[in-house]
Amino acid sequence: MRSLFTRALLPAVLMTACTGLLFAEDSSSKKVPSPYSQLVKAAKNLSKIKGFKTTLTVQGGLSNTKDHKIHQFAVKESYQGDIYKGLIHISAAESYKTPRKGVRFFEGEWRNIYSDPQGKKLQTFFNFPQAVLKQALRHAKRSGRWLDADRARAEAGANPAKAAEELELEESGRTVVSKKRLSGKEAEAIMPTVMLVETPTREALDHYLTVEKSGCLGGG
Amino acid sequence: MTNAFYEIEIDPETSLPIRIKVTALTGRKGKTRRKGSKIIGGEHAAFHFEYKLSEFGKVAAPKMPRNAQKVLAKLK
Repeated sequence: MRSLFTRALLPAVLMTACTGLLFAEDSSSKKVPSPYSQLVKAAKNLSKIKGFKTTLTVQGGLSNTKDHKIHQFAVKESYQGDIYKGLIHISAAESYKTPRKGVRFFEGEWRNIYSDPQGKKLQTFFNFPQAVLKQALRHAKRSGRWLDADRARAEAGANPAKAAEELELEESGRTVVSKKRLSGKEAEAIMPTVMLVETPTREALDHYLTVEKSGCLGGG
Repeated sequence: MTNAFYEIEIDPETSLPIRIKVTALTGRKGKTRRKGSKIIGGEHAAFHFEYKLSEFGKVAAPKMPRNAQKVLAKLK
């Protein structure tokens, strides 16, 4: 009975345990998730948070480069707002806004945010990031792609095993290189983090018309 | 010709968006270089809206002045 255990059962148990460990280690080198699934997760996580800070930088004008960097500015604005549930407070502009309406303090009293050009610009430009993400989500499944996937892959290497430490044994002159697999946290660190989502022409045109209607193009 | 795209950066630790950039481009007849339907250079109008998000969960409810609340409530 004992010999049966040592000959057949014990190797089987050991093999199962080793295979389990192997798979457990492989989970650290998990597959790169789709941009869509990550965006869904990000939007969901953001919707759970009541308050956060947002800085919005708007730059618009003429460009003549591939990266669309502006050389002739029509608009260059920066706003800082505290977002709490469905309200944005932009203290520097003395404004409060909801997704559809807003108020601004100017000329000594609280008025409709659309009452002056600065407020109109603010209401047009400063959207709730949650709403912007929602718009992006509509197209992420079709056109979403990671921008830094190559970098992440290059860092991870084809094999997630890496030279972790090079130890020089004291006074022996010998170097020992110990290779280990990436831990879960390390694998997370090399995951791609920047995605690009392209919109169809119709929506692109809507974006542009929104800007044009704001009047910041100065009639151009 | 019009192009628009979103560039979104997600924090790998929290899975929260930390940067959202919306770019809208429009070409100019005879001046814009394009590849298919994409604007790749030459003169064109460009608009960038970049949101940077931070201090998640650390912002308290703003205290809106009473008069501001009244005006806001009246607006449709």
